[in-house]
Amino acid sequence: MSFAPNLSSFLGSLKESPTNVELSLQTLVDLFKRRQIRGSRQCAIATAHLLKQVIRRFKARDTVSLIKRVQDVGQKLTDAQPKELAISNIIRRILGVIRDEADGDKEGDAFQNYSSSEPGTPRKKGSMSPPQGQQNGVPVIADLEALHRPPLLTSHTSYMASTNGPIVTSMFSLLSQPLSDTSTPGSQSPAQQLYSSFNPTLRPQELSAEVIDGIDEIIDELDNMDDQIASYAIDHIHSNEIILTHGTSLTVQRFLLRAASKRRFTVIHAEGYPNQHHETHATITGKHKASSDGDPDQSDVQRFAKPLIEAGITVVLIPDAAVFALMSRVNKVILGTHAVLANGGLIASAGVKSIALAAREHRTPVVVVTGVYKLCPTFVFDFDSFIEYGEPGCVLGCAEDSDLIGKVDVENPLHDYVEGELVDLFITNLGGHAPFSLSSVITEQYRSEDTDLAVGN
Amino acid sequence: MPPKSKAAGKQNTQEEQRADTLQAVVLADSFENRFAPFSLEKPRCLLPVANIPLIEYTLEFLANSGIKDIFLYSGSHEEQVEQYLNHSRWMSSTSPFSSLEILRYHASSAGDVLRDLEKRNLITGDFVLISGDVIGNVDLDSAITQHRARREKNKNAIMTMVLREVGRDYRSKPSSRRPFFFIDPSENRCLHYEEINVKDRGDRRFHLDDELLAKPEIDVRGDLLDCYIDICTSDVLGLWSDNFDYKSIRSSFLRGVLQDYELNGKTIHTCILDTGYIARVSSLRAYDAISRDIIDRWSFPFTPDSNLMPGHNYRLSKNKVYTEGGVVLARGSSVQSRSIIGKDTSVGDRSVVSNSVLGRRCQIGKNVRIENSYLWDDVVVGDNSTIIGAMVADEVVVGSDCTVSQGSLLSFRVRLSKGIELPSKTILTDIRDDFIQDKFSTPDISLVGAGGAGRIHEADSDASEASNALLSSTSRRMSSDSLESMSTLHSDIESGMDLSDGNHVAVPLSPTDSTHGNKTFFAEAITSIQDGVLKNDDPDTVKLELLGQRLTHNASDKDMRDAIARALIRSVFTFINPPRSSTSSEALLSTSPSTSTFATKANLGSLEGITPKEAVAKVYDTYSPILVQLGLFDSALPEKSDQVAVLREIEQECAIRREIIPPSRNHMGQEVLLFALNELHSNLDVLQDEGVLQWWDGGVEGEIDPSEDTSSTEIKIKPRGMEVRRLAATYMDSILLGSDEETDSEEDEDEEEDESE
Repeated sequence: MSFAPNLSSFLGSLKESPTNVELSLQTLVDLFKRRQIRGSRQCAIATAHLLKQVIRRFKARDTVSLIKRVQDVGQKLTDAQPKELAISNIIRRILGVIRDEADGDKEGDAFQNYSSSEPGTPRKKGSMSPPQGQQNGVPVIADLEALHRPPLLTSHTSYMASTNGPIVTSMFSLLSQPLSDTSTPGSQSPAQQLYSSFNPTLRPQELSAEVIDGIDEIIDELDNMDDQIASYAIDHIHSNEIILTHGTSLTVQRFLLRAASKRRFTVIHAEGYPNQHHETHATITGKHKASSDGDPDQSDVQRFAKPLIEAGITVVLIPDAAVFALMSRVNKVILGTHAVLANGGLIASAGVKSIALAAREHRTPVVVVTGVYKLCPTFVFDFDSFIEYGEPGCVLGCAEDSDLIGKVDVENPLHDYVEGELVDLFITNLGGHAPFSLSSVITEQYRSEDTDLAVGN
Repeated sequence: MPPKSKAAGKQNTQEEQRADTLQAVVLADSFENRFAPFSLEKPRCLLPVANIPLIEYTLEFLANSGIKDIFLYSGSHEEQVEQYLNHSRWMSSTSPFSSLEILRYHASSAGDVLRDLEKRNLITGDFVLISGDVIGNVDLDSAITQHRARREKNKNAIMTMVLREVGRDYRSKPSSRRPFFFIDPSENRCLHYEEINVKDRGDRRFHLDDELLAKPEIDVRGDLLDCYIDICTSDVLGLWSDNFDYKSIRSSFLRGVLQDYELNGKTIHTCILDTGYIARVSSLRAYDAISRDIIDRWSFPFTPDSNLMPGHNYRLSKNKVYTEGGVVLARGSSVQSRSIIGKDTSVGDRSVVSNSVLGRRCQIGKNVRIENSYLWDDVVVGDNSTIIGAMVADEVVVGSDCTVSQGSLLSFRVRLSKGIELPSKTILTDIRDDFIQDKFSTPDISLVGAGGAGRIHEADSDASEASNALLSSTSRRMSSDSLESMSTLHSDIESGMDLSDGNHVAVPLSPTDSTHGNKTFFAEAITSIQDGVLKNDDPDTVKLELLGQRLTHNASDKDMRDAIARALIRSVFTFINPPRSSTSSEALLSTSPSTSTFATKANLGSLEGITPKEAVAKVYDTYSPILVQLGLFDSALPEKSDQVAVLREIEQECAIRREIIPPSRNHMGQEVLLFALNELHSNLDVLQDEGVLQWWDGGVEGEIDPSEDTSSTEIKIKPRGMEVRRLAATYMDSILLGSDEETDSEEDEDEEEDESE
């Protein structure tokens, strides 16, 4: 039984008192500040749920004030935890949803369907071509159908979600808008412009309903992201390979587990001392100490049930310091990340950078698996401002090393900044991207108006 | 939803929930005096630690643990705490707590608070007892779960103490009195508890029962940091009220329950944590150590850059320097490692700040050096000054070319003029409304310079030790040896005998008080009597309560008498000069030094009190018979020293009160004395002729306390006493005319000693 508030208690309180938005907002701000909701995924889920409630309870129905409201709330949330970039990413996407709806479907709606109807043909391994290139398969037919449908095809997407179809790209396309289209000419079809004028503009009353549908899709996407990413696993992991990974990223674990269903390989797992080693050990053995408290909620599907060893995979646990020694035997490095900046640089858990550098030294390919919600449109030069420093208590126990306390400075950064050049491939739920093509994915995710969400200042 | 509507509309459901949710009792008063002189003006729980009021950390800690229902006992400076909390997020509609209730009760020990709580029947289930100065990020979940599981099995498992395993030299650990826990590891039960004074080289033995040694296995732990976080069942309150003499949580309650195990079978358990940070800001030394821990991020996420307080926006930059927006650092200035700088603070050219905390809106001049120091808000430091190892409170002005050295404490609004060099360990205060210490009311020019403000604070041993320790720990590169010797501090919270911070029990630090053998009794009795009088309680009720207190403290007849006399006369003054908002509970507060200025100021404009005569009649008619009824006067004795003592109390109080009443009414003390005399002697026959005459002949009570025999006191009080007697003289004349021929000459200053007992 858990008394300390966490994500599931927050989601529970949202359900219990759906009317008091201010209380929910303050609760979430407090939870962010106290780091009781931490990690990109948890932050993203909490933010999306909160904004859904905010929009649902929002009285005024014109878009300008709605956008203003979301921006205000978003400002409070990002101020509470400016280092969790996923929060601002989710806010940007929700703002994008609103703007798209507000734009009166001049171009957006018709085009939504064909990209999502793309059957999930697995991409070829190492395919560096932008995913949009493949999306011109059957656009026109889908467009014609779309004319007779409601603008947002929630039933359609939920179907996609429930079947865990390999590519659910409806959100991706939903947020596409003219600016991004110019940068990705492949997705802009003439037919779309042709038919766009047929779509009825939304009446204000429908706005919030539409937006909420859009947020639901984002939440669905967050829930199903790991499965989508994992669907590419078979392409990237081959039999008898030795894979090196780090930390406790669930995305990585699912990815490996999916591959393990078909292939036999070896995983070398760096433990991530001092901040992650307990969790890492638990992940490897499958004995989650925390499993008693974080009761898996409906929306909390991330709890990783089955460890790799049960799937018959050999797992080798090593300290971070041994990474370089073992790198020569490693075929591939698969890493999770905390956030991805616009230049392809990673904010990842501490220890990842040394792995990436060791991999570069040995010319070992580095693959980063991440949900698109971790991709940030922002870029800063002061990376330190995104790096959170944790408690030195993890490094230096008060009991055994007490004579050192006060005599030495202890630093415990929780994150590393890893330059984009050290990464060879990104795998998101949209597919594989080369680092240089990442910016186009990012521009399609967010609307340019929202790029400057006052993140980090 | 807002707690208010919840409280009103969902009373029933809330009652049900209470059994399940956890409540917490926060003791924000420590019942000690370690933060003087700062705590004289501001309650300790509002003192800023790393620029955040201390109480915020504790409340955050509770919110962090998911506790919803808070009862807070604020103790000294109640009104300030209340005002602060009322405007804080904890009382707003978006508070994480469903209720935060401030307990208004004047207690002198933790035991009193808990007994009062039991009477009020507020606690319905398990609760967390925590002191209001805890900073920590430990996870209480496991402790609570363990506690509940144990209680399910065994109703007698009444309490779980949360302890943190630390090493020997942990810096925020109090180190002079070290607690030792004897624990049965099979069920984590605490079998025996002892505190050893580490400094005391003499007797360092434990005294154990044979039965204890019969246990197959015992852990003796001296490496535990005890932050006074206890998870209790509601039975605990019952035990407190059954044992009315329990004062402190550890040395009396814990030991008592452990000793009575054979009788009651109640058990107390421990939960020893080995991760997370926890500490108590129990002294200035701990303040220093914990501030550094916060800067070093041990308390993460309770660090400045988490910006837990609304309106804060600290950012962490290299070398653990936290700065807020609006900080102006001149080009040549440098902020070196481990510092916190609040909003709108400016640091001048070529100034160097290191290892220091600067509050908001400070102005630091040019070429200033600040090291290992704590500057609170609105501090102004002139050019070329140096501040090392000092604590500087709000609105202090340090002129240019000053040097403030190690261990100095500058309390609120002290001003140092140009070129002052303060010797180390100087403790300055500028408390203006302390009507007792009027001998200090003028600034000590030799120390603070012309145009300065502030004077030496007469530190009791506690505080001086504290500054000593601050001194040693701010120098901070201490070996463990020096730590042992310097850290004189750990708590005599256990002694329970200290008056609390800021004398909230309405006893000003008057010289007379120290003559009363039983300070605590005196303080408590006065409070309760005054309370009774102001609320117009039945005299019998007042009497009963008094008897109870007498038993608790084993007070003598003399103590009783003095207390009653003092309390009655104070009530008279309260009636005459009611405080600004005169609800009965706040009326009491007016006697505490900090508010008395308010009360007086307010009354300058509106003289809304009743006349001295009415007041005297009102109070004495009803309540003075208590003196007789309790048999406190032995009328058989020829020497009426008891009656004399009573009159002395009255006289002193009148003399003191002169100082704080408006000048237009400075005869009031005289009037009150006259009327009181008249009432007690003629109308009520409480006092007899002989007693009154002996008092009169006893002369003016100059000084009573031999420890206070500085010449200045003597000189000041004597003429004042004379003046007070002026009106009474006419009355005495009338008695004297009727009785024998003792002269009413006033030349008998020499005799004062022999009359006092």
